[in-house]
Amino acid sequence: MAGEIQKHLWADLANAPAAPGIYAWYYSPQITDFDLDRAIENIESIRGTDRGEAERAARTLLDDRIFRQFREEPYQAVVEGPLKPAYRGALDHAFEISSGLVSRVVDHPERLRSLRNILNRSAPMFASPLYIGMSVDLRSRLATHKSLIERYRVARLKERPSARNSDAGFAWQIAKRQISPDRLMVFTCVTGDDDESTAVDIENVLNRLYYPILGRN
Amino acid sequence: MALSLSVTSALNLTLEGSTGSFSVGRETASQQTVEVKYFLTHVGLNLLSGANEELLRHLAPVREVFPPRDLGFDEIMQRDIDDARVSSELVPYLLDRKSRDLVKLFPPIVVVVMPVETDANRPANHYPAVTSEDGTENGHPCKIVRSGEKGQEVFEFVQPFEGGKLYQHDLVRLKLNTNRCRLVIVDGQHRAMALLALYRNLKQDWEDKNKAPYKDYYEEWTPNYIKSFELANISLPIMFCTFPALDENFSGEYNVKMAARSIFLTLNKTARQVSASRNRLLDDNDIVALLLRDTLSSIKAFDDIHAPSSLRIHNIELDQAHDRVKIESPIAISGVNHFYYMIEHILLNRLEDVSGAKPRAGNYYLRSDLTNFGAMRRLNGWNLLGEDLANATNRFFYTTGAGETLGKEFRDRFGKFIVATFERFVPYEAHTSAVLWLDEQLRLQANTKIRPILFEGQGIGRTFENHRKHLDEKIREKEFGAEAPKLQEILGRLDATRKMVADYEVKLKAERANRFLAKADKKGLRGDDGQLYPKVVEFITWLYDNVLTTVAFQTAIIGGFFGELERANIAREKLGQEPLETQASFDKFIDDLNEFFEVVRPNDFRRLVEVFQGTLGDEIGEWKITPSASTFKRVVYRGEMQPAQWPKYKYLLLELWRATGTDLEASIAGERDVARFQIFNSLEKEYQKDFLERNLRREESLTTAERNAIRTEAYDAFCKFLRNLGWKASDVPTKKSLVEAPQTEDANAAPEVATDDWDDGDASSVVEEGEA
Repeated sequence: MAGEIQKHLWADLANAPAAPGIYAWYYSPQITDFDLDRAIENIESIRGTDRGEAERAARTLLDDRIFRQFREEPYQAVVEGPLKPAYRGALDHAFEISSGLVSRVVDHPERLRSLRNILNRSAPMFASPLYIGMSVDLRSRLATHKSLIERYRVARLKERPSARNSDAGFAWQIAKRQISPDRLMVFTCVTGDDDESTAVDIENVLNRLYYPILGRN
Repeated sequence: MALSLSVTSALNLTLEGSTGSFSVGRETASQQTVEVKYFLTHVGLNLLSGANEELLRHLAPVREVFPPRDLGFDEIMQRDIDDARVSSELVPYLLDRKSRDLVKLFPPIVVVVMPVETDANRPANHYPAVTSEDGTENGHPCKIVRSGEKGQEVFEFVQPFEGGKLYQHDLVRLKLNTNRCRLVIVDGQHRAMALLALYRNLKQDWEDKNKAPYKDYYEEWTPNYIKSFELANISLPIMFCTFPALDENFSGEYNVKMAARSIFLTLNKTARQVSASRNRLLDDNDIVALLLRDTLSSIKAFDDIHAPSSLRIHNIELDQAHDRVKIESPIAISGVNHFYYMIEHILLNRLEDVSGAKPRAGNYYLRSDLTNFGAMRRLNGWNLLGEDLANATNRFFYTTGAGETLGKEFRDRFGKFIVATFERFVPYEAHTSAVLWLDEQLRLQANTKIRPILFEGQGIGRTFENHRKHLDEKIREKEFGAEAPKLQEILGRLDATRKMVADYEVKLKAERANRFLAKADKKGLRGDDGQLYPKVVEFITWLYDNVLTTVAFQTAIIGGFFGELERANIAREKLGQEPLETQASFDKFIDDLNEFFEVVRPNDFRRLVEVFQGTLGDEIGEWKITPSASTFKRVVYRGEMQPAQWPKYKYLLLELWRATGTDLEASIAGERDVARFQIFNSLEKEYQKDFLERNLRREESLTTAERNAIRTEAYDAFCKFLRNLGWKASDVPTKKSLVEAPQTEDANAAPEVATDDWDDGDASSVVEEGEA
């Protein structure tokens, strides 16, 4: 029988159950007090004289501090047909920040504070998972994740993981996107079944339902 | 008629020599290298040369130029001088007494020309504006590099040129204004002191109050004896360093003090004589060292008669000899290495590194990433620095601004509680107030011999004893021939001083014990004369030396408190609750500890003795100790206490820290239970091992009855240990509950954590030597 779902912060992953089960990583986007204050002050000071520059400042803040971490990796696309030319290459995530959002932020920069406060509490209720996995020993698996993230952060992306190692791939993406580990949290659920394939099936279904941003599938 | 007024130069010391340059900087990667324009010459005892005598008058070790009491911790540029070694090894070498006919070679003494503030004898950050112009000197064209306007100069290089080419050798002049700068020796302080000691003995120039405390170390080198050598041949190379770029127009974060510290550390990196504690005091490239200095500065600020507590900077050993972590100074209660270790553990520990009473896991000195190990979260670094700077900051790479911001936050969140522990924990308060009492006694007696040995300069007591031994050996080996009777007299004086120092140490220990037991009943611990029984004082002294002043115990108090508070706060955060208030939690924590250590009744004292030494007989004065199976040493940890075993003491403190009625109570109880299971499990194993060895048996041959008997014996010892720590019989866990622990783990094995060996920190290794 499945156990209850437990929440673990980055600092207390060691308290995850040492039992088989599934887990999901989440991330709370962060706009720091320092960056927020500076951006509001900057927008307020220039919007009267140079609205274009103020919009650029708002766009930069939103992109650098919020959206960048969620940008999708390029797809490798192939287009081909019988007796037709073939096309293949990377398809980049075409991401646009809504001009309406930018305009409203410039008009009312203080809105950024409300946005920041909600974003702080957005995971997991309003969030997609970053990664969904399963393990016969959740504590040990999460410790591996933690160790790999720490390692890639320090290695400053000098090491690149093997494409087959999804744990390392996830950790590498966290380091690459400069996601602060302190903003990560994990939810675990003990599957309560000795048969490992139960957890495998659950993980399989969840990944196909929720498409975690940094997931293996 | 127009007045022809000319400004008179303030440069009052002119030296002749060669010049050149090299670079110095905090990080190659940061592009912050700064040119050092140096000047090379020599200084010696040929006093017919005016420049020699003038230079010897202005040259002095840093302790005399900037007395340590006047400097902040970020202004320290040198280590202490071992006068005993200078007198016993370097002076004879300089005089060529033993090494005649051998090649004598000294690398240059390195001196930084340090600007001083206009209104105080403190190092200034930058020189007055440095200018470069063409001019003439004695009719010869030359390039003049000058700091400060004419009449207010700090230094001036005069470098002749001919045919557009600058002379670098021989004919260069360095002119100094010794009123606006100080000559700070950053390397070669010991050999410079040897030369200065000879000069001062010849000239009888020891009167200055900053020089006088060290005169005794050089007394055996009498003027007559010195004059028997070829003094004119004694000369040492000396190099003066200036940083022309670091003038008042410099826009970066670097300054002359940092450059001087950087040269000191670079030149001494491979010299084993620089202790780890001094390296930490000087290290600008390790944020833990920065926070250490910040915390020590808070204590230094107490050096005032209006200070609210008796804690003073002399209670912290600043230069721990041989990198031992055991405190040596009788007036110190802690040391630089203690503070460094504590701060490192507060900032860079992970929850999984410490589990119950197990030794802490992990290689802390390798931990450079402040986010990975929680330091950024603990210091609110992301919000204070912003994402970009926080991402670029690590333990060994940080801007001055980031260091200041994180330092201030550390002070508010942690530093003030570290300091408060040394002010408010009863045994520490007893020590620091007894030291103030001793200081006052010595001041009242205007004692000019003993007070400097105990209170002035770190390690001076150790140096004094070395000096006495060296002199004793020399006299026995008849090294001084005709001068021997005079030296015998000096040795007699030193012996008398040593005895007086020892007597004062005894008085200090007695006074400390008195204050420790100030609230105790008059009866029981004291004889008819009202004095504490000597054995009582002896026990209290033992307690300080072997428990209270150890790195392990102090880390347990401070690291233990913050670790448990964080554990509780993480649980609260997950429930969406506000973190607990640190001050209120700390107040309760200290009160709980003091309740055990503050002896009121004789039985409180008996319990204290039994926890640490053994069972005390009925008459305390007779001091009959029966070995007990319930001491900390028998129940909790039977090995030699190492710093990494600090969670063993943390467990002891968890038994005392009840946090009754507070939001911390349940969390503390939970961690206490984890530790109890581990301790009891290890204890039972120990008893079983002992039984098997005594009876030459194998484990599988034990009967159920024998296993039960072993378990009961271990439980009884554990039970009594807990009772001595103040638990009522009804609160002591039952044997059944301990045996049925959800997870029985050995208290002697460190938690299994993922390796952090991959971390690429470059800190020097942490001292892990035995303490007890």
